[in-house]
Amino acid sequence: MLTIAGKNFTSRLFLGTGKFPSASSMKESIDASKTEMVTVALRRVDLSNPEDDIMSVLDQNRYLFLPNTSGARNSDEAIRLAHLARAASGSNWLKLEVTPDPRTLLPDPCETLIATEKLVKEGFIVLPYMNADPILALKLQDIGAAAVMPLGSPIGTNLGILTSFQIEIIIEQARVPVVVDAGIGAPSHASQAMEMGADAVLVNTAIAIAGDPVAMARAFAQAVQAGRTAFEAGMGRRSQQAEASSPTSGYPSEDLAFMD
Amino acid sequence: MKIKINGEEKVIPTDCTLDTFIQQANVQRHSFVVELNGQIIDKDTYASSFLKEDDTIEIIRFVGGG
Repeated sequence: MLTIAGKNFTSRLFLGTGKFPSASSMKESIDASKTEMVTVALRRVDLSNPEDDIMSVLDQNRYLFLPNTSGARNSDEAIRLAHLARAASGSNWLKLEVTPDPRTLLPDPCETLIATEKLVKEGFIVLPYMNADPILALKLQDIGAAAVMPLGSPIGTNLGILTSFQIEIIIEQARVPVVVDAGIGAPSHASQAMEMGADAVLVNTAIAIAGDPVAMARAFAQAVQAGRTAFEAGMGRRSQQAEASSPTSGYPSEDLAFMD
Repeated sequence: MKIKINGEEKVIPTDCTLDTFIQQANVQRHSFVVELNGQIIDKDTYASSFLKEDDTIEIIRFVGGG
């Protein structure tokens, strides 16, 4: 059972709600994933089409809404979005995302730290999106982040876990849950993160732009379960040297030259 | 009088409250937030917030995002 800020989650797969081909596709994918937490963004109402409302499709009683501060380029902008999110949702939960460079969408570590500290003091439950920097992860935990969310690779790239060396260190040193977020492009990537000991993963693009998002959501749910089960089962050690799987004695032959 | 709403200039009658404006814009009530001149406005005070010349309003709601 995964617990973040005192809330229990049965599913270790969190979903983003962006980029789906339709509202119904998004809703069915979310259901197929069995996720219990979804991210949402904050944007202007389209006054030429004010009825367009994601909340009407998603049932807030079934999953926790995690507003993100996507679009924020610095801590001030992120804090403004955080206040708007809380006013709109009535919830303290927040995915803190501070990304000054639209080409890479990499998170600014300094602004993320500043915003996390301020928002934690204001009572927000902050889940900061961060580059896979073990030192930064510890600093965020020290100032009260409810979890840390290191990236596998940049948002939307589907490149998988390019930061495994650092994520392993983060997991080893973590005192709060570690949610690998961004760049997970295939169920195998999600399994890999879970096998490493991640507490959860957050996936958006890989599901939303799949040929069949609903089927892909199901695949990801299975992959996350497989990876977690494997982690809990205790992965076998790796070896540089081949070690036979079949017995090295008792082979029925006169010629034993090749046996040990 | 002239105000700015979601980045666009619009002319509205004087003596217009935030409540009236939102109702006429046909925004769904349950999941949005309004910022007036940089301040988040409590839903309870929409009816008593009178708009003035050059006010800047942002009406924001949740959309799909990662």
